[in-house]
Amino acid sequence: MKNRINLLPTDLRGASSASKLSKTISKILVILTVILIVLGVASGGYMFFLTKQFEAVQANASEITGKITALGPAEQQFTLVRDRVDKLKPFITKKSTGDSLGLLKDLIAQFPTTIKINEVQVDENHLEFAINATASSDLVSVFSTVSSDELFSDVFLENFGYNATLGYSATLKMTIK
Amino acid sequence: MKTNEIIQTLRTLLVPIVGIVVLGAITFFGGTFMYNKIVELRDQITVARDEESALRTKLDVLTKFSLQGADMSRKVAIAFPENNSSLAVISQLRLSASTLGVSADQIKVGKGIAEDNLVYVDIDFSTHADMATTLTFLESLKKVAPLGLLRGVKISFVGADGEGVITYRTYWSALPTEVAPVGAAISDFSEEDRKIIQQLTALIPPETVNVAPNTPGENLNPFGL
Repeated sequence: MKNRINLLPTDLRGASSASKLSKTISKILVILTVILIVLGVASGGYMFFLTKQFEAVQANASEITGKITALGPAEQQFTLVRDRVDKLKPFITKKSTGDSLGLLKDLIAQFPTTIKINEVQVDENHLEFAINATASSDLVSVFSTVSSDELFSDVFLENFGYNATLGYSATLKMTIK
Repeated sequence: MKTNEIIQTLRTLLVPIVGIVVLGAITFFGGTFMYNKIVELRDQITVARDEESALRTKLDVLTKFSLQGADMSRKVAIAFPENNSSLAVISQLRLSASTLGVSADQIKVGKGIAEDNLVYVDIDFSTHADMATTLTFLESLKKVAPLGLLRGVKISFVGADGEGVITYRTYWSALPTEVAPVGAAISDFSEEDRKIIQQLTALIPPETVNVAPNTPGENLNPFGL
């Protein structure tokens, strides 16, 4: 069995446990340094990769910007059309009297031919007409046509009368849905 | 433990401890710096990619639009002009009335009223024709430029002849004076926008007469009247 001897003077001898700890720390230090260097190199590589990627995206954006600049006249025309559409949208999408006219035309086409129309009034929300009918059955037919039409939310009989010469007279006002 | 031994122990541990401190400092400061730099770069890439995507969308929209943009913008500008459109509307309604045999008179143009970035004016006029012709005439107004909307229709009949009192509204607005910066994003027209564009471009423009310029001729007597 070998015996280890230490020939250093006692005051120069380090405590054996401190020496062991120092060696262990040194080894860990070396390992950590290597890990740090590896991480540093990896991070540097990643940063290089990101920088290249950023430059590539910027170069691409710059190329697209060039193409857009070349389309200047088209962009001006697009701006004009967009401006016109945006300004008109709140007005053009509303119900209009023109739409009500179509309803009026369809409705009148269903009336008996003996019905005489005296007056028609149309706006974007209402249809109103004053009629004369010689036979009560014609008037019933008109009322039934109007009341069965699902396009109207309300139908008002504004005026109703009878004259021996002209026959029945009525004024109907409908609210368009 | 003697003082010498303590000093000796500390001397032995000094180098590794300093090493650990230095390594820790390098790891902390270097790591923080690298991490911040990487986060910053990634953020920059995200922003740049968003910008690139917006630019690509803009390029696609403009490329597609450029195929028909000139014609479309011209028609839209006629349908919804920059100046008072009442004169053009009167011309259109008189033309349409004469084509359909409707008498349109007592034309009165109201005062322009500004509302929501545009100006409108009501044009009141009277018509004389039977019911069917009057309705056909009023429907024909929906097909002509400049754009106008019927606001009120009242037709009174004496026999077959009807006298209409019509209110027609027409619009105009100043043209845009600025184009957005090249990098600014644009979105394509929505389905609703396309319907409006289709409606505007389908309108029949007012007829204009192009007078050809006279060719220069020889003036035999420049002092003669």
